[in-house]
Amino acid sequence: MQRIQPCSMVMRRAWAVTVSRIQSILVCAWVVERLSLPAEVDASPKVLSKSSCFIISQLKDVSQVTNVLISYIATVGPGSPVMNDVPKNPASNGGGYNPRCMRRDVNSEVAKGASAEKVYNLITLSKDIDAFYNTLLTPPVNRSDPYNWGIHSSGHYISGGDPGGDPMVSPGDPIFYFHHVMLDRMWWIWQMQDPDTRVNAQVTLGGGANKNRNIDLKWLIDDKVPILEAHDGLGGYKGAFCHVYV
Amino acid sequence: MTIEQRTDFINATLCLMNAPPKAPKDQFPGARSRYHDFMAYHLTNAGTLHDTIGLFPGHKYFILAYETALRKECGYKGYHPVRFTSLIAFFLKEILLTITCKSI
Repeated sequence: MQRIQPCSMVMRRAWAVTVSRIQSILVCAWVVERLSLPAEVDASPKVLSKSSCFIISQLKDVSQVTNVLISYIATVGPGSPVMNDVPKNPASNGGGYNPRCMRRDVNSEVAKGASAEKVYNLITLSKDIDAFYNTLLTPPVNRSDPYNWGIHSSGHYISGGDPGGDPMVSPGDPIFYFHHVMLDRMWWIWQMQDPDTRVNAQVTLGGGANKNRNIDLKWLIDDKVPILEAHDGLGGYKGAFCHVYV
Repeated sequence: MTIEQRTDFINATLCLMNAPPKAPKDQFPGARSRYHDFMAYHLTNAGTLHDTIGLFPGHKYFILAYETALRKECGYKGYHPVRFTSLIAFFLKEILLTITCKSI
């Protein structure tokens, strides 16, 4: 993620031009994927290890952080665990101290639901924000596609586990942020193909929600931000959301 | 990312995991670090973050808040890296197994 400030309307149009370049990169990724996907299928989920904490000692090229032990990476939750042996939280709201080590459940079959082809179709074929939303999250059932459970979910369950596979506490696995930055990048690329109509486009599905409310992240960051300001990835909220994905 | 950038990013993440939490202690006695603050928010404010109107802008702000914490509270100079999901299918094992679990 790169941010450049300030973002003017002129810059918006300039950056929209970069979208075509990004699309060609995606097409390349798609071709590489087609050529190189391993033929064998690893359909059965595998738990990498039993109760354990994770040690950054395998990153051989990151010499300064070898042998750092991160103890108890997950402490709150679970909320909606997908593993059947996650200990229950002592507090009814899930906010009690429940120390446990992170586990991942790597599944290459799930990864096929987030292929470059699907991402390419998402950003090029979605005519409006509702179509984009549906394709990203809850695509209509398509019996000819066995990997049709949405790019968002696929991305989470590539490694799943605890807390990564638990929808309530998934940010407890650092991979959450890598994944959601990518999803935000997809949204941004889709918006930049027609910024005038797409930047402020709000999802109409579901209905009933206040379209002008503020987003309040409470103890995470100081400011409350109007929801439409956070749509504007090229300068919303006094430039705080000014970022250019390359 | 260069090796130096990767090191900076990992060190900033470790810093966040060792920084004191800001979530209210009466509601979240389990949040023991600034890193856990983000789990605690996601756990209890799922409605705000996940309704159809709020999902995209809410998560855009959520990842910005995380990146801001890395930068302001842990001295990180870079930006949060992007995962190229579309390439994961091929590099899956290489990427995900570089961070390995070990028994303690």
